[in-house]
Amino acid sequence: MKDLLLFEFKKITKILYFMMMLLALIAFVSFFFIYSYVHTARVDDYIYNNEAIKSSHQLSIDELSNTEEDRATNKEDIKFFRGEMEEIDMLSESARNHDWENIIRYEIASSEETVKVLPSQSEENVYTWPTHFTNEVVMEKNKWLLEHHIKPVLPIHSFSEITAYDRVFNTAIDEQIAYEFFNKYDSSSIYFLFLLVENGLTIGGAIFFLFLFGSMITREGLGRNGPIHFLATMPLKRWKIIWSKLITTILLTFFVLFATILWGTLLGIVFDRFGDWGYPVLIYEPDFSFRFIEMGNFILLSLLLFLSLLIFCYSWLFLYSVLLKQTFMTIVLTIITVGSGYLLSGSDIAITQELAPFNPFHYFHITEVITMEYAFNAENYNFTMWNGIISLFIFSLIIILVAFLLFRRKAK
Amino acid sequence: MIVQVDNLKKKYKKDWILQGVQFEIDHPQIVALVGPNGSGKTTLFNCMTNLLSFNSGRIKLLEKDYTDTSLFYDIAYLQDNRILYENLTAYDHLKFVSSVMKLPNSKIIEVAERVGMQRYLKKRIQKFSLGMKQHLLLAMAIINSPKLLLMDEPINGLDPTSAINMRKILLELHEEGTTIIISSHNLDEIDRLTNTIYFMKDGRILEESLKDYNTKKYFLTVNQIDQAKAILEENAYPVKVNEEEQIEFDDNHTSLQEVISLLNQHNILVEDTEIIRIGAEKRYLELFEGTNSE
Repeated sequence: MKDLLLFEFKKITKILYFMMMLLALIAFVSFFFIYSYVHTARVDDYIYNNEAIKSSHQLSIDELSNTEEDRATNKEDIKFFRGEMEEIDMLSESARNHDWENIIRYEIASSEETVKVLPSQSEENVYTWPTHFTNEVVMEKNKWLLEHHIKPVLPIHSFSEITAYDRVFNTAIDEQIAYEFFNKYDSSSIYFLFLLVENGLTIGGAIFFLFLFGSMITREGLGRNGPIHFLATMPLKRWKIIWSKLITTILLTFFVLFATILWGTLLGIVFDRFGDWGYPVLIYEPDFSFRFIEMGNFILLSLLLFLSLLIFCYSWLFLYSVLLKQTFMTIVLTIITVGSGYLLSGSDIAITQELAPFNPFHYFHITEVITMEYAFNAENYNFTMWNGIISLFIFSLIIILVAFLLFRRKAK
Repeated sequence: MIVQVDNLKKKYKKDWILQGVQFEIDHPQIVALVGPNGSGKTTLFNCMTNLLSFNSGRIKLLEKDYTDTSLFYDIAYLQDNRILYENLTAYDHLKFVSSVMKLPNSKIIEVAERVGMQRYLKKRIQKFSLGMKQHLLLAMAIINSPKLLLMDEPINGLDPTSAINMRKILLELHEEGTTIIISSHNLDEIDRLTNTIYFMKDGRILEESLKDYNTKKYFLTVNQIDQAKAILEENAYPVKVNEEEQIEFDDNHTSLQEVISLLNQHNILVEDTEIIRIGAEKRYLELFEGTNSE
């Protein structure tokens, strides 16, 4: 088996197309890092924004105090603006000194006030951004940051979060602003990997891997004359030949994912910092509740689900490669199958069915499944990562078994 | 018994590709498998190496069931060059074979030298000519000095020098005790390798091709042709008189010496003796005259 695995490794790594695809992956990760780096809100940006707010407050004060009479009439408002400006000064000073805890405490205090005022999510069906749930999430998140002494990814105020409960925006501008604050970037390794996982571990990512490894399984000519006959006339068991291909594909996938993670981590460390493994990631729970998990764990769980998903995709590839003669057609048909399954599983009927959590095509929504947002939207909390892994594993096994039987039958 | 193929039948879609192939090889020899395209040669090889299953019949190789993969330590199959990996080098292929066969690396160099492919050992297959690919296939097949070597069209694409070298290697292997079953359309080359030729047609090995036949045909010019014919027939010699008024017979059951001395005893003068070697080509034409190659 060792000889076969090494030979399979050698075969794939000597294909120019494979190396080009790997280079494309490295380029994508690097460019995405540059983008994240450029869009990371840093101390200077924070102070600059604060100064802008201060200038706006100063303008308001100036307008309110044109005359002595105005000053007397608008005394309270002017006092409010001055108070705000003092707070902003304090926050800017804290940022300058990297005293993040002071800033977090300030945000927690202001969130607490808002949460007190807003009606509970469970009591009223209000879904206008920012909902009570969202405010609560911001507050708890900031408490987590404080508790774990974690440097926040800016901004962290109550308008910087959008949750699944925020279904309505008062105006289009509100929506635009909300997303501007919500789409946070950070070039520290962990947060960058989190962004990479969010944007890369999708159906697009799965298709990339299908193109990357598609030829490895298909070009052998399973079920017809081709290099598979070379292996089949060696003192090697047939099942070993087939399994070695699948194992090599899985191992190489693991290696490519690991190398990508390593490259992302290195970029973060070299140009910024490692970041905080324990950065909170929101997980939805039933009955308007929620919890957080550590960002590092979130990344690992996402990778685990993605790997299961890729094995599921490879099993289709394996099946079609037995049935079809052309490598390209095999990859295209696999993508059509996976794409159709993905699109059809998104329909209301597909989601609301009782057995829907065992439909493997749902689990292409990697991060939504891990955060349980998918379960929340489907109102079915059986859409869990483990149910996903189990159903993906079972279906992959069935497809591989069918493909193997067809392969044996076709050789007859 | 080295090879035992018993009433082998193979159907593909609606056609019978093999229709009861039967033969045995009990001692090391070179056997040629000759037949027009589509006669079932490659299918027979593929069935023997378990690349294809068959509908009925039995195959035993080296006293083992043909499905036993451990057989491939002792059997090699030189097949179509599509089995080669275009992105890998010749060395990569040989390295893999040698590691599976648990052979030392020195065997790679040894076999490359024997086949004459040291120069392009580190070259990728995609840059190989047809002949170079055949060299590599041969090297892969003989690296483990197999007891049984099956070769499907090994001479294809070889230049004369390489073909001579391949013949030399095959004869050496035969000397070393390897049984070789070779299919080829190059009948001259077959003639140089062996006299044992199994002619295949429509999925069968022709009965008559299994019979021993001499490779020589004699043509005697005599002074009294009718008398000579009568005497020889009287003595049960299977002879005939051809259009050129010559006594014609082959050395299957008739010795030239016997015929000449018999004629001399009857005062018939043998004026001229012509000996022609019956080549595979002649034999092929005899058996397949009118058969269209697909």
